[in-house]
Amino acid sequence: MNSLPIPPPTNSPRAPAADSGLAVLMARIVDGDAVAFGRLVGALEGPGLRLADRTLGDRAGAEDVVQVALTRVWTMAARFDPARGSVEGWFRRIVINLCLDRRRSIRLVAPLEAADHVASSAPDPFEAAVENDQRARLDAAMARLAPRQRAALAMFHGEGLTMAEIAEAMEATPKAVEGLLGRARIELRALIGSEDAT
Amino acid sequence: MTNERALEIIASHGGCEARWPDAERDAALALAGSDATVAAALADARRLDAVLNGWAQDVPARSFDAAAIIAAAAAVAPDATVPPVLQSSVVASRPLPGRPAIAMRRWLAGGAVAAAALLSVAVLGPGARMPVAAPVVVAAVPATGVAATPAAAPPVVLAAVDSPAGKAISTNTGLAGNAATRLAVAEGGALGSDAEVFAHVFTPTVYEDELI
Repeated sequence: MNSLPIPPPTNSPRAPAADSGLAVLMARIVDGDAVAFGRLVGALEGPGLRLADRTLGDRAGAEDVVQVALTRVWTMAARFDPARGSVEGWFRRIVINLCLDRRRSIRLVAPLEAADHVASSAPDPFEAAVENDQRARLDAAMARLAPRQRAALAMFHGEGLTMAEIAEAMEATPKAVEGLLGRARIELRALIGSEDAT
Repeated sequence: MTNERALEIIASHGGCEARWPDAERDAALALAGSDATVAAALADARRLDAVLNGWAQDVPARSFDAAAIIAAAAAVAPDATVPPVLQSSVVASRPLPGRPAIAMRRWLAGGAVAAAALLSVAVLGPGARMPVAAPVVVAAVPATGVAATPAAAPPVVLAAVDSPAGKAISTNTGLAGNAATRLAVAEGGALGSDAEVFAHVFTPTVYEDELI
């Protein structure tokens, strides 16, 4: 495992050719082409891990989810129907469903009080403490949101997806996603604001 | 464009106007230029955007091993232990909307038999005494195996019961590398008491354990 940061995504709409390339890979995977699967894994692992990590707030759980999701892509490749959506959308849907299933049995372990106990060993203690404190407050506020809200925020801000693409992944309507994102941002702002005030 | 709608757009889409709905972008921007409330909301949304972009994108990467995923999938996939023909016939017979009710009844009956068998094992326990007399393997699959099948997998004899002829029938899914063990179990010679034989016979594989 390496710890290189994932290259930031572009916020521009993805080229249709890119996903048609993934659809071609899927067709080869149905025939058992391991090389094609390796290439598909390379294309999906980054976005999948970002989405799972941010939805769950749990790195180890996110890695498990992506591993299972990729396994399902391999074992259930024949079920992918290009007429019903993109490969990426199908994969995102698998990841989100796995995350939500997992969340039903796990409680989040980042109480707001945790923000008061942030240690730092960075060279510049003051700046690092401020940064850590802000990050801890954000994480604590995120922990108060519903998993679906975090998933929507992760896709909108992490992958630059449109409302329609998020709706496809979440099996909802674009209008419902708008409402989900709006409420998430308002709640988040209120939570961060209330933390700032204390 | 009303103030309320402009604030809704900003709340849901954030402060980057490029991501606002095309049809409403110009009007919302114009309102942000003339209305202090909308302008303040826009500035606030842009600050929150910066925080959320960092939150969503700052995730350490990890490379997943495609070959390992394929190997793991083969190790637990049904086709590693169940013949494809049987799989396809079971899957093809599953109840679906519009399929005759007899298919549903067959599935329910099969489920009832399986549940009864599991219940009896749970109630009697693996050590319960059942007669075993000179068992003979009557359904052994050649140990050609599957590439992903672990060579040291435990025996997969699923059931051993008395036949009318006094012979025990062992139904075996045939994992590679277990032929000698199966034969020893079937002949009842390598193990001691009947209880030991049955404890061995009813040891499930990982896959069978998941099914249970």
